[in-house]
Amino acid sequence: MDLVVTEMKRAQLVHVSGRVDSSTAPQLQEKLAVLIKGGARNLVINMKDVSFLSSGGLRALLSALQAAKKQGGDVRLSEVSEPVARVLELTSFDMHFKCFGNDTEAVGSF
Amino acid sequence: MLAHRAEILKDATVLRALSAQEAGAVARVMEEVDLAAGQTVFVEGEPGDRFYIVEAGLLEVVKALGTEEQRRLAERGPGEYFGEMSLFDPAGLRTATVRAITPARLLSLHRADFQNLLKAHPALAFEMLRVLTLQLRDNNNATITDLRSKNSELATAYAELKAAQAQIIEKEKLEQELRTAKRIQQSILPSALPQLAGYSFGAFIAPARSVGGDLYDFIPLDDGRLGIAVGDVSDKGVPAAIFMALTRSLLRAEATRVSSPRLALERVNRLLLDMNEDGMFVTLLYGILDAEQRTFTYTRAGHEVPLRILPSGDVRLAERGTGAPLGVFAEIGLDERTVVLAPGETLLIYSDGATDVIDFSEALYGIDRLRATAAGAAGAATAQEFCSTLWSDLEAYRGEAAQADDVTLVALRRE
Repeated sequence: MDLVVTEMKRAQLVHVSGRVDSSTAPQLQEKLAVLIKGGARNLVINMKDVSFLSSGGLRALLSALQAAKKQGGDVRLSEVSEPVARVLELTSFDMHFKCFGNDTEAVGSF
Repeated sequence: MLAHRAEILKDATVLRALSAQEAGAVARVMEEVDLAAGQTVFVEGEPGDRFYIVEAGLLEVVKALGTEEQRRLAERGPGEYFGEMSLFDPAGLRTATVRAITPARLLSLHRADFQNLLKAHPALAFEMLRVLTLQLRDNNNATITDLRSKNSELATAYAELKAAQAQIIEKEKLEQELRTAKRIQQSILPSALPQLAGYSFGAFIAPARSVGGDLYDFIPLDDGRLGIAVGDVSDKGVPAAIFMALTRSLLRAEATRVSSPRLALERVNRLLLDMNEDGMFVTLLYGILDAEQRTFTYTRAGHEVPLRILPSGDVRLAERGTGAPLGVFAEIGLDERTVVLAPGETLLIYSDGATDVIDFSEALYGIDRLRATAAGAAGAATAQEFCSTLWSDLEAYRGEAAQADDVTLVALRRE
């Protein structure tokens, strides 16, 4: 799993790639937590290059969402890959994360 | 030549007391020895009967050469002497090894000539004794310093050993606690499969660590109905195990209180929400088997969709329905679906640890292989045998790779 953060005006754009499984999910959770603690209330997570998302990965997204909401912010997803979409749908997480077709729309939604 | 030697002898500290004539006499009976760098003059422990004065070059006096205790006692240069100790010692054994550091030339005196020299000049003996005493003191000091440093090394090693031992004890304590936790966790999972006429059941659970976050349960209800649950907490290890135990207790209580799986899970969700500070959640599939009606009515809270395996080997997904995992959201959109079980049909409820098994190349086992293996196992004699067949294939696929996630398989078959 790799993670690249780009600072935008309205939100931090986080590009995640690779497998987010039980061994890498804690890293994602930790990095997102650090970003939010550092004052980034609004996050856009681009998931077009995520090949696999485990329940641990869902938890990483969820804990970021909860932390961001506490600060009055939000976590939104963009370009969700097919395997990630399947997991979000299966778990009804798509009810709780706003998903966008591209980064511009996602960042612009804030 | 002799005059040159006599000059050297005069410069030798030990023989300073000799007159020119006497030095000349000694010089006449001395023999010259030439050494290449690294060449040994004599070796510790061998008998010695010669005394040496260095004419040119540099030599070293080494104790315990070639062992771990090897130590250079001294160096000898032009005008200095060595080899006198074995000449004083009646046993006459060399007390150290001497070898050339650089190419060297020595003058040597035989024991008999050496003794004659001492007899004629007792002052020489005193001078040598004085030097010997000094050397002895230096050696003693060196030995004491050596001992001190050895002692301190020993003390350090002992302290490290004690620390390591404390760590081992701590680790053993932790392992003991984990073993206890594992025992407790196993004791809250059903100890036997349910007995229900016309049905057979199978269950298999394998935590990835000592304790896990997966759970399954069979809950006897009234009117010949049986509650069946499979759950997966979004974490592993001890925190997940605690959350799993909590979920299981709440489910047990709510399942007997209300008759609908959806209502039971909604209540469990509300209770978990109040207790969960950590953002942990649990996916759960809970359903009720009505033995008479031959139906299984279930609610799927974010969990994997069960597989229906018909005796023909036809495998299909049960209806998906909707629902989010429990423990984090107030609104989870649960519904209820019903499967009418065909004769010989097996229903497989599993955790995603089964499809997420990875082999050494990190390739996923996946739903397609699980379906194929389930189809192949459709004719298994019992539901338990069906589970064993699936687990064997998962294990074979995983090979030497570490188990990434807890795996749970629960099967129910209508005979």
